[in-house]
Amino acid sequence: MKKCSLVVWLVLSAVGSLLAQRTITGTVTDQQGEPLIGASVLVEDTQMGTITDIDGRYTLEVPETAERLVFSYTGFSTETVEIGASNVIDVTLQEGVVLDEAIVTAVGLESNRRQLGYSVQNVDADEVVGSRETNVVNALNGKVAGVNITSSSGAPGASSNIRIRGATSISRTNSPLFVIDGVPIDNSEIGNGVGGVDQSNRAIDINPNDISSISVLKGPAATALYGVRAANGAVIITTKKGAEGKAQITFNANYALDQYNQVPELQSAYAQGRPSGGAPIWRGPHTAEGFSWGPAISDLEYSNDPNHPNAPGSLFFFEDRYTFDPNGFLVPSGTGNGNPAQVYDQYDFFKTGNTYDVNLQVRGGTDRIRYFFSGGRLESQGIAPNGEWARNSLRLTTDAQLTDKLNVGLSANYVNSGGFRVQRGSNIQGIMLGLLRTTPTFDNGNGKSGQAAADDPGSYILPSPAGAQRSYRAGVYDNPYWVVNKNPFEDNVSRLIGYVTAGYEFLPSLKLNYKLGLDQYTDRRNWAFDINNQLFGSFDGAVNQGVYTNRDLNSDLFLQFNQRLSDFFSVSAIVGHNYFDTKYVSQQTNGFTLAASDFYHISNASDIQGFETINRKKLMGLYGTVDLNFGDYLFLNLTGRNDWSSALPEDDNNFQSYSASLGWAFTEMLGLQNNPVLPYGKLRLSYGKVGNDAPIYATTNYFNSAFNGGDGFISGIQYPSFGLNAFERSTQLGNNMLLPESTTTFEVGGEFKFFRGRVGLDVTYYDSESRDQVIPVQISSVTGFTSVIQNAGRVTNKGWELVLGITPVRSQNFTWDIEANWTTYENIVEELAEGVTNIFLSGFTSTQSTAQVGEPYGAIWGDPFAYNDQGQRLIDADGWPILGTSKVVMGDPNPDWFGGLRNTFTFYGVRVSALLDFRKGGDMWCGTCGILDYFGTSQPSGDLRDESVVFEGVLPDGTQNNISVPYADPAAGLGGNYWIRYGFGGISEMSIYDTSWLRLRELTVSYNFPSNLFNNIAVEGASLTFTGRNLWLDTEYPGIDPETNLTGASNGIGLDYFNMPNTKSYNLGLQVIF
Amino acid sequence: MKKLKYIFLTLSVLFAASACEDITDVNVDPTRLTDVNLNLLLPDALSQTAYNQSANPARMPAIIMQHFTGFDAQQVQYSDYIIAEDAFNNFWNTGLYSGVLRACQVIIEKAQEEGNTYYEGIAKIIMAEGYGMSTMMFGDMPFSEALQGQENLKPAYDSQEQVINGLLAMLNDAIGLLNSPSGVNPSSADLYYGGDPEAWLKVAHALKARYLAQTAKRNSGNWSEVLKEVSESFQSVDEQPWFQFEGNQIANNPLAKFGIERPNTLIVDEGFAQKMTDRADPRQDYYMEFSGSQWTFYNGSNPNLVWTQSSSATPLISYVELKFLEAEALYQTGAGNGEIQAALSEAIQASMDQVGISDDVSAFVAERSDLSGLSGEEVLERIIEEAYFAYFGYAWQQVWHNYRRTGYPDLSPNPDGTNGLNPSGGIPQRFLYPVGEVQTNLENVQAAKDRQGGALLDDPVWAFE
Repeated sequence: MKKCSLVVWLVLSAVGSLLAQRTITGTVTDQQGEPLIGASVLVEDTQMGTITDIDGRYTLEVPETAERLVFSYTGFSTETVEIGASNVIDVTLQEGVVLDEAIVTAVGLESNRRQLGYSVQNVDADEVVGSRETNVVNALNGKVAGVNITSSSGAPGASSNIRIRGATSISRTNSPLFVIDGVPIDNSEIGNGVGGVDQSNRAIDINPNDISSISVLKGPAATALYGVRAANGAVIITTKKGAEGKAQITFNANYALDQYNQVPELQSAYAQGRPSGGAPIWRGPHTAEGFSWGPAISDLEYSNDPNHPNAPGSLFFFEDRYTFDPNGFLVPSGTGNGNPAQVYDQYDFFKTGNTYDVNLQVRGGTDRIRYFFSGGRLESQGIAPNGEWARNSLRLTTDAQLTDKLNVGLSANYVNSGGFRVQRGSNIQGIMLGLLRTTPTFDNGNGKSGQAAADDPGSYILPSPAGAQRSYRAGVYDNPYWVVNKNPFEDNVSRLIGYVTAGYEFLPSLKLNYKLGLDQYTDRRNWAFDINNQLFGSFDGAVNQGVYTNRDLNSDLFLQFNQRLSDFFSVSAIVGHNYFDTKYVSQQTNGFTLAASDFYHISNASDIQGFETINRKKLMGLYGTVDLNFGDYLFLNLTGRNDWSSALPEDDNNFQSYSASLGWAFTEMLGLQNNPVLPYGKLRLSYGKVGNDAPIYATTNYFNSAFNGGDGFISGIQYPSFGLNAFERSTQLGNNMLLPESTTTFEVGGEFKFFRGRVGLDVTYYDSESRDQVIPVQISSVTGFTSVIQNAGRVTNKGWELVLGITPVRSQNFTWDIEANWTTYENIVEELAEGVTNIFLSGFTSTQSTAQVGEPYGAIWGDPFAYNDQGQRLIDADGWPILGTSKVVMGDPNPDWFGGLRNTFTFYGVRVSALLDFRKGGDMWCGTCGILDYFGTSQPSGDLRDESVVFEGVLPDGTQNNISVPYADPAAGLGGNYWIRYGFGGISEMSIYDTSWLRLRELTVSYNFPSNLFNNIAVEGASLTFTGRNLWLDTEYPGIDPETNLTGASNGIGLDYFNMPNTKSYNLGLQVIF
Repeated sequence: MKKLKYIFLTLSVLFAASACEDITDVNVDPTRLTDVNLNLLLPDALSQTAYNQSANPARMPAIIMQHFTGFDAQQVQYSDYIIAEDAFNNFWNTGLYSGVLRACQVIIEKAQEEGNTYYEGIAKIIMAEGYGMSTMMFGDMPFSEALQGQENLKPAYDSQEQVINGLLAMLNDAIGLLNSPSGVNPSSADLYYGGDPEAWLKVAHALKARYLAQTAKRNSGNWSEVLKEVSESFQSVDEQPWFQFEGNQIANNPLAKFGIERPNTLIVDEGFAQKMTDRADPRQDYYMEFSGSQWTFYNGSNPNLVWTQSSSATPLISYVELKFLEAEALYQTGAGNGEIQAALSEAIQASMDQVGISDDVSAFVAERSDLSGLSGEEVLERIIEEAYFAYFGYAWQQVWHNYRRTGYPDLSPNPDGTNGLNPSGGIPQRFLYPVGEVQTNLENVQAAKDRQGGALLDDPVWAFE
């Protein structure tokens, strides 16, 4: 909040410079003379404006210099009226079809939607900001057809995975290009793996409050101007700009409460322990027992008697009490002190998180210079104690008309973001891992919960043996409260995104533009693992520091030609040059063996290793595009680009992209504009090819610093070691014959407006094919290499996208709008390199997300049960299913279809909007579920452990299985237990689930205070908004909210292994405009 | 105003033009080398060998041979003989073929170019050991077509017999090379011996003795050669090739790494601990400690546990093993009990010395090496059984080979050990070929499986059929 004081000062000084004013009043009505309530009245080219009141009346202060007013109302024509001598302007708006919508396309060009021959979808500022999402990527969720967004978790600052029309590339990124105001920016993420913490994707640095609109370019026809960077579509973000007029100040404050929205159910009936001698026995925390296959909790009570036959050794007593639990250790009822064993809710670890977001914006200008300034701070305290993430953002954008012909502009956005991240996923520090495996009789918080327990070392450190970790298995898995204190992970990003631009108008039809954009950030991270004095190990601790810098420089010089040659024919064209230079430097220092506890600095380490990576790439492109307009109803666009990339082999390093698109507004041609049923219809047809170049340094063989590994359970040995240094030949075989990947897409679609524009429909079908996949093909390691970068493989993607808009009710006081989008696609890996059937994308050796020939992209591959050729499961003579011997594809993580449905009701000043988000199909491996079953903490392992089952399948003699086997007969020991006998966490097939869901992604209720409230004060308008995010979720998935991905924005999908839960939030926001 | 226009035009064109510079120069990684000297390559091959010896290729036989038992997580399923295609995938890829064997291949090629027989000889010994340890795990292996890079992306599998003959020939090569060393001495790059060719010659003979013995079931004539090789090898624990790990968390002993990084998932088998107690074996306190509820092999603060400290050294091949091989070879070649007993007694005593027992344990050694009253198979059983107790901590592979070759010691398979990977439920006879080969070299690995009866866990490898 302190940072806001500067902002306030700036604002106040800006307010001082108010210009001379005049007041204009009037009424806005429809054709029947009925007043239009809430119609917008704006001074042209400015943000100065107001809305009409209940009588359709408005009063507006305008500068003396203002020339025209713009009147608009949803579903009606927009009228621009000259301001004459009169101070009264009454306007009548025509009900009808709105055809003109400005869309920002490639290279920051603005185009009119009606002229486009390809599919583009726009998301406006209200929808972006209104979602109250921290991450701009999530703000698009459920709103754009063809766009699939998966946030990796609800942890503050967690990344989000965005795919436009599925995946095109097997090993290269599938993330779209993010472009802000014509400058491509970095949206990578560093370091998301199966363990560690949830990292951010860097688009999270963008302050959603600064955004004016986002357009999503889906296919090559839309993105060909970006050449080899555009294979995955593009997200074109336009930020708010200055506008002529007095300084308008907008202040926004939001406060939200966050809670987890779904977590796996845990059993509360059985204690820690395992069967021994045919009966379940209690084995307490001091034994490091992992299982909750112990006796029924109702049969146990406490004892602190050191002479009890079950008493642990004296080491585990402190002041005559059991050190792990002051209530005592557990003994059979009747042999202890009579106090029955207690059950604890592990989820009380989580607290209610909160987020506040404060923004101040000032915009204004003269006819020569316009400015926009914004400052904002968002701070999010996660649901896990100590977890937090914050973003401070400052932006200044100005543009100036220096002469009649020359204009210049400058924009700078400084962002500082980062926080304290908590460990998750597959690592023994993982919060969910430690929490969910905890036996129901162990209280992680030792009498406290949430933040209070995290703040009290008594919850995670034992009094005896002094300093040892207090956890349900004596530190084998870390107590989550230990983790949030002793395993800090902090990151701090400083980022500058900006551009300078200039344009010179030689003729009204000929303009030269230049824009130099810069995106530079430094991400500093410090993370540590304190000396862990667990009972059965002595991890000596580690501190790590990393500095990751990325600098993207983008230069665009282009000449723009625009000429109406006759009444019937006009042409516009662009030729340009692009230069892109990127440099990424990662410097990491890992220190081991700490000297002192609670001191997380590199100087505390006894053994230190340093690593550096430098990645550089330069890209040059020449491009041209021509738009031909025939009679305002037939539009042809041709685009071409040639790229030269440093990552490609030196003697063959160029790549051509091209596209052609045709838009035919047949209603315009046939003069049907006034037809009440179909006043507007346009057909679109396009074809294009774009690319994805090779990874850097893939053309040569290198020697790396030597590393010994090959175990899978333990770390390797990294040189320098043994007092000397050493190197080894890289296991990746270089290839100096690489070609770039290319994606070609054929797209056809149409836009239709029915019934005076009350119903709008946009349909798109596309068929795309990505060839020459640049794949690090896994080769037999017997060759001495484990992979070779090759051009091999083909991925296809076909899909339908539908956008529907309906306005069922539009009356003076009440409007009901429906917006829906629906997407289905089929994303198939058609071919891989010869002899390669499977490529690892992400996950574990046992269960992984893969690319496999003939299977959907990301197919889940893992261990099955054995089946015969008829598809019947094979059951052994003892009644147990037989294990298959080879891995198979067992799930498709891609949804069958998905979409969003928004209903908006406007009633006087109140607006209620609800966005439902639905998804059908799509599998997920719930690794969490299998592991919890294994340890006996899951609800099913509690409910079913005394039950028996007849497994579906056939016996060795071919008959239907009829043998009943007990799930977990203690007499059969651990090895006879269904959830244990197939290995750690069971086999993959036991944990594959459908993720279909229906959720209320957003619920917004907003109220605009009537403007007459503010007549006597400097306030122009104010509104109050409640936003509920993710309030309701309906899914059969048994784990956390299935909108999750273990490896963040990586290519692999469909894996859940102790991911952090997702959140729901309740947000209250106030906006005041001065 | 004209001025502004020209300034703008000039600047933008200049920048665009400067951007037209040569872009290709940036595609060279400034952080990596494209060629390195031999002395910077050798340490990697040696430490990878030591790492392999104490990592999962050691732990898994230790589980199967009931020195260890799984207590938690994947180790439990291994104890139930659910040892699937992925169990050794990492080892095969980055530990073995694209690990130590790749490193040796690079060294051999470069040493041959430079005419340096020190490096070539040592690399061949290390490579032979790599093939030896792995063929005993998997049976048939790619050998003659291996490590050829782009030249052969689908290497065929050689029979185990060919692999073993090949590695014995490689050891003979090494002996020839090191007998007349030339070129720059590796000195400190040789982490075992500091560049002493005489010492390496003895290692070559020791390894020959091992692999001749382990294939003697197929050729009983090997036993007399074993005796000859043993006599040409090292003569004390001190002379054996020790690899010294470091006491930090980076280059520490893999068994200690496992104890630290995977605590309480693997413990000492209760039955084995009981046997040691019953024998009053003086080595028990050096192998394990009782933690209150189970026997653990790792405790970083108990330096008595000699094999599992971070800084514990491990021998590439031990003097103890040579003496056991000698005892068995004497038995197999018809020597008298007295002669066998001398070798056996030396083997057990060396094992005591190796763990650092300074107390007089001669009574125990005498008792356990006393062959009086034993005859025929009983003598063999005693030798192998004593090796079972002596190899704990550093030679688990040999325990398993001995068991598969002789059937000793007498162990009962885990009653829960029947599954699709191990249909007959017995103690595993081999490991499955890794899933990586199934994914990338299917035809060849399938052919190898087919000619070895399916190559599931219960199909013995050629040497032990």
